[in-house]
Amino acid sequence: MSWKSVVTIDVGSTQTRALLFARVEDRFRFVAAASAPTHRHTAHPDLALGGIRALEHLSVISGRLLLDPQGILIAPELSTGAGVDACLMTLSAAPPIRVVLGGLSPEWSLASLRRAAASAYTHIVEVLSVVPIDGRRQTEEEWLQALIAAEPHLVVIAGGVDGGATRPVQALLETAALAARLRPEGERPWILFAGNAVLREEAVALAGRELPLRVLQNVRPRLDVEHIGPVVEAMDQRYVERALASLPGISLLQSWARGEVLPAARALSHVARYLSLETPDRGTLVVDVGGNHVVITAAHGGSLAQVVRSESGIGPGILGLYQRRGYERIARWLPHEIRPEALEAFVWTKAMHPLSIPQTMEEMGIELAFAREALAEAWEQLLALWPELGRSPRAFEPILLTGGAFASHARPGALALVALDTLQPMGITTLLWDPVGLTPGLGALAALDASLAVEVLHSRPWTPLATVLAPALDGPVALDELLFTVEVHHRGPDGSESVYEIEARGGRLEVVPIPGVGETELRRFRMRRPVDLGWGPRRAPRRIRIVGGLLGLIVDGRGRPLRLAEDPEARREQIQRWLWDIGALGGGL
Amino acid sequence: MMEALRFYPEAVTFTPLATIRRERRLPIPGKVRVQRGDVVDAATVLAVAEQPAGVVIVDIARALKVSPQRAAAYLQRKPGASVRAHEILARRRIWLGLRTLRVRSPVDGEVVLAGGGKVLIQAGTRPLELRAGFPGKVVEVIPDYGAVIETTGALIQAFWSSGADFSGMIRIVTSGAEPLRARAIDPVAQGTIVVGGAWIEPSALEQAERLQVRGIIAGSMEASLLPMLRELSFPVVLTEGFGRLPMHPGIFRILSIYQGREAFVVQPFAGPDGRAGRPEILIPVPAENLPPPEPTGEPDLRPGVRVRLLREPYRGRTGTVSGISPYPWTLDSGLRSWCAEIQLDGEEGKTWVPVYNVEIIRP
Repeated sequence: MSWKSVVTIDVGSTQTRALLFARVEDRFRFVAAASAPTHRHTAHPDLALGGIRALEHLSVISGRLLLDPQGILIAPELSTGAGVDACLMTLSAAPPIRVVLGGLSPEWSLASLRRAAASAYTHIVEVLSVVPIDGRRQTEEEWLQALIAAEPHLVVIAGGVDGGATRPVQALLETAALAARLRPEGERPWILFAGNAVLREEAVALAGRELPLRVLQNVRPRLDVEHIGPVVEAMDQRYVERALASLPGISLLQSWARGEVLPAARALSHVARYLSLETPDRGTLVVDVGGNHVVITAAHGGSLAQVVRSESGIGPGILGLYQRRGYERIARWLPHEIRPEALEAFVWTKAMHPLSIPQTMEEMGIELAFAREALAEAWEQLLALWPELGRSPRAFEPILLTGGAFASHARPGALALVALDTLQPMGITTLLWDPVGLTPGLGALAALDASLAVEVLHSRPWTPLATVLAPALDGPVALDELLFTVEVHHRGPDGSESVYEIEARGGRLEVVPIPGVGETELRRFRMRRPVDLGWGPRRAPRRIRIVGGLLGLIVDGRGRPLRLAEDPEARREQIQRWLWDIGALGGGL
Repeated sequence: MMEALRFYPEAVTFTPLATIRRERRLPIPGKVRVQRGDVVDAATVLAVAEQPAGVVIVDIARALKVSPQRAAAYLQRKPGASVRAHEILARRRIWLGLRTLRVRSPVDGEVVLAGGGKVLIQAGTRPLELRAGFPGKVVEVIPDYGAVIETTGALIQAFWSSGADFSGMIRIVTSGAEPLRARAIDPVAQGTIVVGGAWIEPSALEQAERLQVRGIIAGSMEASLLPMLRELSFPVVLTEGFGRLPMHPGIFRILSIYQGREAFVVQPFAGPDGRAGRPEILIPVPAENLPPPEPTGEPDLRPGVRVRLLREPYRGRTGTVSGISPYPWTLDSGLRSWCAEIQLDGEEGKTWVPVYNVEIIRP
């Protein structure tokens, strides 16, 4: 089918965002975005109302009538230009599903299940292991008691390579089935069996007709092979099913949507996977810091590593984030002193009024300090679950910043600094910025029709924020010590050429504006220290073509890992200096 | 022609007299004990349910020395039957009937499942009671879950509460927007709900504990006092937030009008994510004729609407909306947002604040 127009509705924990994509002058592209409160944490929650109001706003902003007088979405598009051909829906408003993982050993099947659970909106409430965890062996009765107390929405049992161990996995399955039968019929958890293929028939027989069992591909058919995709997919389905059953009003929005409701994290992974195919040797990173979730997706050649961190972010999740990270870790990112009482008052205000936004620069600084810790926490979890990602010295290309924490901002240097401080990319990379939050919608579009999404992607829907050049240093360097110099050659569209030399200095961020049009190359690197830009110490290609962007080229001479001064006063000066260097203080776009 | 954008920020109610209806529900299905028209007090049990307290597995196949498939044939107590501790669950004669292997129940309970050579016994249940929380009349029964209770009186939607439902006589101990200090709480406050017009000083919490008050209602409190609250025997309700904010004068006025009356603090039930709504202070006042229902609905931001401001530099201030920006503005923070023009109470000038940095005070 040829789609003329599509609206996507992303129902988040605090905001519902509606995006309009349409064919304009023969090209399918992003047209407009609007948002409204999700209307979930009110006396009379109604998520349909949040969707309708977002569409009302979108109608006003885009000039296209989207709702009929009864408040129903007009679809398909009318000859008058009103309405849209299709509506797609993504979702992250529902709380994570409660999950119990059961497997043979923490190192193999359970490790795979943990990676699967981290990639979906789940909360792991229990882990049942045949092999002792921390030297302690669990009995079958303990498994059962744990399963009953956990009241899970989903139980995943894995273990045994295909043709391997059966008896202990069978015991796990039996216990999961027994516990499920104890729950009232409508409240029984889904049971996923993703273990030794030999036990599939037995699993089906154990579940009988009364238990919702799904038999999936073994997560570890061999020790060196892992398939977590089917488990993640089933977790997504359970999450959406629970959301549709528990969130008031969501079923009306669902009735407008074409195809399945997509968890927002899955939409993000579609985008990350697509981007990674464009840079197969580097991989792509998509980071989303929202109100109640942080999602980091690393894609490499189409394969994914993803962490969906719930009870985090800068909305309702800020309270949990603060409890986990604590005062010191937040306050270290601030250029000014703050009393713990004042920080806690900020946290509670934000948690109770998540739609509210910082008005002052001081409060913006605090909110971005929380964004840093939210991102750092999810990043640490990603590296713990996929340690191989931390072994590559070179940064992903590109790094896409999306979510409420990266919303439209007049001083985008402040946002770029959040990414540089926490992800600490090394070598050369590009920061892309999604100020209007269109990435989940693009992912939904990809699920509907990949060619449409590609068309939108070709119209460069994101804002290039900066090219980052971040060397690894062989040791501590003095502040302002010269690290290397490089020439920036720019050729304008009219053929005019300009050349200038920049100096990368220790402990500093250098921001060099690069015109948005024309071609820019970095040439003649002269290393003054054995810095590593991703090609080995003191090595660099003769020419590197870079793109411009809102900020231009950022040369991050602060070294990796980033070292914050231990003395609080010195650290505040350091933070202040970096904010100044990157243009996050005063002025603005 | 397209309409202008409309914004619907959060809304809060504090009203001195209204007809108030609240739904009270069990989290799981149970048995409703009241009928429509019943008059209830705060302690009346509206509904009860039973939650399983735990289960015990008995491996009868192993004890009877048979395969799991054959074990079911020896069961003496089938699923659904109750058992007492030490009662025989299963038995098997061996050695031509000369000897019997017996399996006994280790606990009192109910056999809920038998299969795979094992028997599951549900060992008792935990009762769950749903109380009315405030006095009123049952106007609707929610089958299996609870009821809707109606009362007349004052309603104040607060910001935060440290504990469960509670009640007590209102006792105002400050003469306005003053911090609540120990010396304001005298022995007469024992057994009452102490009301302070601004924030709570730590000394006041200690004094209130000594005098065994029923609870404290105040404007605000430093978040650093939260650990101290866990050690107290009474709950604390904040109407404005954490920090040092005075109580909204409208709320202080309502509480002052009803000084000496009994107030009931009710914590709404948590949603599917475990987040509860705002705690509510209900002060029942008998009325011969039903007053108008409490203001509900979702008012939109428009000129003339009264608002409370949520973020710095105006946090806790109140004012009246005088206009909405025709396009998003860039704030000092660097963010861009649609803004409302607010005439702040007690000030000549007007200020612009983001539309979602206010909460509407329902008329």
